[in-house]
Amino acid sequence: MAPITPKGPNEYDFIVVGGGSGGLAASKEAARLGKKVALFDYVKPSPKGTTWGIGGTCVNVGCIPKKLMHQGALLGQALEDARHFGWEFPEEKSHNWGFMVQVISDYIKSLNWGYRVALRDSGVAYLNEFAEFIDKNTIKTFDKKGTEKTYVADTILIAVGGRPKYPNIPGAREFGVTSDDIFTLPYHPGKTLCIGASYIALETAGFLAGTGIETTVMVRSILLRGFDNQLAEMVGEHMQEHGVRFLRGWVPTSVKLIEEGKDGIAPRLLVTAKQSDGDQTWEEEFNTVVFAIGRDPCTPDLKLENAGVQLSPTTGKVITDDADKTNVGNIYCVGDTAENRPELTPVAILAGRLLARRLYAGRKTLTDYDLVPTTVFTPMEYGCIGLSEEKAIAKYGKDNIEVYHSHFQALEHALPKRDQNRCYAKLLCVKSEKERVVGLHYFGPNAGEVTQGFTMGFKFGATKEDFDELIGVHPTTARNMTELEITKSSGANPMKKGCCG
Amino acid sequence: MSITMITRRSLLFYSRFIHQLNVSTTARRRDVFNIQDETDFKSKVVNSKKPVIVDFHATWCGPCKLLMPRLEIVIAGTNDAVDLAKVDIDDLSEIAMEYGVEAVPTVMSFKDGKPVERFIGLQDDDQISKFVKAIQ
Repeated sequence: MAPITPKGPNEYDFIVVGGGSGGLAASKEAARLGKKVALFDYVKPSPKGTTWGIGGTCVNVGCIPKKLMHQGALLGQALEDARHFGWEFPEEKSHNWGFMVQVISDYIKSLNWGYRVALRDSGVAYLNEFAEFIDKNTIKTFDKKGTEKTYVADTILIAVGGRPKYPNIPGAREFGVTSDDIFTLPYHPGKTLCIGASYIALETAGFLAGTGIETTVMVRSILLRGFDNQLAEMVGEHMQEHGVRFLRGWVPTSVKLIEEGKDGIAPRLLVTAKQSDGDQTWEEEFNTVVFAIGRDPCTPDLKLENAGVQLSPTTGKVITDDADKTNVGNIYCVGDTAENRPELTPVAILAGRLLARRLYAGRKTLTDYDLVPTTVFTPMEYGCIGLSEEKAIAKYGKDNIEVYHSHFQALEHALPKRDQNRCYAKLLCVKSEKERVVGLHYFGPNAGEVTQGFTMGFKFGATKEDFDELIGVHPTTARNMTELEITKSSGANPMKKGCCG
Repeated sequence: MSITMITRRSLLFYSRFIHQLNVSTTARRRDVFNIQDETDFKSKVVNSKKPVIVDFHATWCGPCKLLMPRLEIVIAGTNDAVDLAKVDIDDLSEIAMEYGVEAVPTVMSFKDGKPVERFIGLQDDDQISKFVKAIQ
């Protein structure tokens, strides 16, 4: 669509800085609504030199390669299970890391191209230039060759996401890698140490172990901070039972090089650590060290002080209101860069799209940042909607929360005799509101699919009775959500016996 | 065996060997180009006096790798009447965008500097031959 307000060559109605989930959604929607839009995306290489194309973290070094590698690992497990269903194949299985990296990388590059085509078809000008602010309407950009340009816009959206943190210890940047690098590691990772307790650390450890790699996770204190504690421990226990070694209560103190890697072979590294609460020290040799201890917003390089945009003093993220507006009237922020938002792709996509509609289509709908469903794609997956048990109790009071729960086994695991009674479902209900469900937790296969389905019920304020009145689909694991009878308060054993009853 | 004696069937049979010799033969061919930049595209495609087949491809594209040698053989069979210009869409995105390339491989025939026909995806040798013949 042609722009309504004629503007000069470097003048736009809407400039979006950052071509990730939020930026792409907002820019395409704004262009669809007739605005003259420019999108700036530029990836600064990681300390290891890794870089990537348009699409942001999710497409290049997040959700997409993660889910593909997770699937790769699950298929390895499926091969084991297959023998129990009568499949006969003589050899022991082996996994080709380089092959998986290559095919996933090729697929991602096809996605990068697809986004470029989509932007062109939408009429968004895409510029592979690094943008920084000169004032609230003006940005200065640099391309790969260092050429500088200036652009002006009525409205600017900051959607630059974040990058992995490194700890302040010797050798971390020089010899460690992060999620920026692991998906395209040009050598087999070898014996790997994942440092961190985030879902990134656990998911990474999960798919590495699942492809036959000797994997250790080093955790300072609890697992999956911010998630339900009980489910977080279940995730960890399951990983441990399936071959991942956990070092609980340790922090790394240095990473040293023993021997350089060369010709496609991993280096040899020495990691030293000390106890989080104690004096003991420890050291061990690894080939790869992955830091997954958190992410920092990409705000420092934007020179936001030139535009007067206020950042959080603790996180460095951009402070926004319910309408995603910063303290500067024409500057907005969505996605991981914004303060106090779930760092998830679908959240950023919806926020970007709704923002464009509020700006240019006269709509008023705000993004609902509560009741966000999510799933952790560890070897046994964990999906949740709403509050953790701790947050539910804190918000409504322990006496006002009824917890219904059950262990169960997936039918598919019966023959391989795997993960018996390992799966788990829990509903957190507010007694004073007719047992309205404020938290749903599912630990089992296909958690993403199960969680997505039940999100609809949350949207309409479903109660426990609504869940009970659902007719289940059989045989499925999702069905367990519709027949939870045992409460934590009763003290009864939540283990399942038999089936179909 | 001179070119005129090779039937289509034996071309297919020998294509395997030709493919293995590809590295040395392509380097000396005057009718196959890896386009370097806009200027190169202009001189070798837009301003070409001969018809040109343009192969838009990408390093990450499997079917592109299968199609390329097939194109080279068919072009060789035109006895220098038609050229083949290869465009890597990641290196030369502007050109690819300008000509509306969405999926790869996209193969376009150019005559007098203008695109005439195109096909998308892997094609067999008969289809490619027909496509190239149409521009001669």
